[in-house]
Amino acid sequence: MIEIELKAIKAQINPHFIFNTLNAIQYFISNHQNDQAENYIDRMASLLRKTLDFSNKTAIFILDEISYLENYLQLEKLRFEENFSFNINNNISKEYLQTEIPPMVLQPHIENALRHGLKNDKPGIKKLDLSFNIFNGQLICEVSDNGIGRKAAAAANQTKHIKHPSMGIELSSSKLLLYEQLTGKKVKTEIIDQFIPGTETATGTLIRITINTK
Amino acid sequence: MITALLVDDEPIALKRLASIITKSCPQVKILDNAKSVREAIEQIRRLKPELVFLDIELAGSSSFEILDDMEQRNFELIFVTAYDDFGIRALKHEAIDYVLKPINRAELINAIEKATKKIYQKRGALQTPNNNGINKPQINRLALPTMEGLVFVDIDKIMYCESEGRYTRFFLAEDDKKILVSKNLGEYEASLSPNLFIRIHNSSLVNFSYIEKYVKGRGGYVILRNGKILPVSSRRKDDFFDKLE
Repeated sequence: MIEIELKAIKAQINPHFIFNTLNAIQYFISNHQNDQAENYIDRMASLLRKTLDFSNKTAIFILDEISYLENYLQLEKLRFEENFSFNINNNISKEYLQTEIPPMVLQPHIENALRHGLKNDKPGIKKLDLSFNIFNGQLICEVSDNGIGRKAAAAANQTKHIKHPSMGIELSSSKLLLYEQLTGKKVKTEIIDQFIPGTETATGTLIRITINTK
Repeated sequence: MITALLVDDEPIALKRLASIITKSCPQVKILDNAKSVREAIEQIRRLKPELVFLDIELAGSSSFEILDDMEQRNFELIFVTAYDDFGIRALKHEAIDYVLKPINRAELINAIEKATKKIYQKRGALQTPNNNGINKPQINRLALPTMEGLVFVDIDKIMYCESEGRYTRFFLAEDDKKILVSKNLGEYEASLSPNLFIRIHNSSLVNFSYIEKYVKGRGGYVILRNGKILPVSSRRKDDFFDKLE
C-alpha cells in the first residue's frame, strides 16, 4: 500500500525549466553554435529520460541521484551563464554509492534555492554547494546557497504576485516520510538559516537530509 | 524607429530575444537590458522606451511589480514568458501580446508589428496641428501614380502587389480595393521592403503582416488572411525564408 502511494508521487520536473531551456537551445541554433545546441539537447534528453525512469521507482542509487543533479545544474547554469556557479562534493566511498534513496528528493530543494534564495537581486556570483557524506552509517546530503536567506525570500514572496506553493518540496517531504515507513530507515530533513556569526545578516540557507543506510 | 527595453533575468533569453529583433525587426532599436525589477524600473524612468519586452518571473520577483510601480504607463508592452497561465493578468495590463517561450519567431514578429502600428498611431495622435497649416509628410503612406493622378494609400493597408506587364496592381485590405499603377513591380520592391514586403514571385510582392500561412511545396504558396493564395516561386523560396529570419 505504502509502495503504491510512494509510486503515485511521480517525479516531476518544472515545465518552465523545460521551456526556458528549449528557448536557450533555439538561441544556439539561430546563432550557429551547433556544438552547444547538440550538447544541451543531449543533456536535456538524458534529464527527461531519467525523470521518466525515476518516476516508476520507489528508490534509486545515490550515485544516480547525484549524476542526475549534476546534469540538471549544468542546464541551469547554461541559462544563467557567469552569474551562477555550483560545486558538487561527493565524499561517498565506493561501498556506499549504491545506497538507496527515494528519487528526486533533493532536486526540489535545489530548484527552490535557485528560484528564491539565489535568483533574488543580490549582487555577486550566486553559488550553490552540494555535499554528500557518509557519517556513522548515515547518508548526509547537504544543499547550501549563498542567497538572501529564508526570511528575505519569504518577504519577497509576500509582495510577489506569483504564488508557487513549493509543491516539489511538499512532494519531497511526503516521499521521504513514506520511504521511512516502507523501509524502516530513519530519515530527517533540516533547514538551517545561516548568518554572519553574532549578527542577523543572512548568508544563505542550508538544507540537510539525513538517511540511515541500514 | 521605435525604442525598446528588454527585461529578462536569463542572459541567454535576452540574447535570443535581441537576435530575433535585430534580424527581423529593423525598426526596433534596443536601448538596453534589465535583469531585475529594480533595474527595469530604473531604466524605464531613465530611458523612456516606447516598447518593453517583459518576462514574468524576474530574479525571484514578479514583473507585475514593475507595472504596479508605474503611475502611468507610457510604453507598449509585450510579455515574453514560459508561463502560460498569466494571460488574463496580461490582458488587464493591456499588453499588446503574450508570447510564449520557446519563442516562435513569426509570433514574436507579429507582436512587434502590432506594437509598431500602435506606437506610430500614438505618435500621430500626439502631433498637434500646427498653425502654419503645414503637415509633416507621413512616412507610412505611399503615393501611387494612376491614370487620374496620385492616390495616397497607407502602406500597412496594402496586402500585396501583382505585376501586370509594365503595370502593377495594388490590392488593399479595405473593401477589396484594387489600384492599377503605371510603374513596374520592381520599382516598388526596394521602397517597400523595409516595411516587410517580400517578393515571393516574379509577379508578386506581399506584405508580411497579411500572410497567415505558408504551405510547403516545390516553391510552396502562401495563404493571406483574406484567403487569397499566392504561389512562391522555387527560385525565391530561399530568399523568402531568409527574410523571415
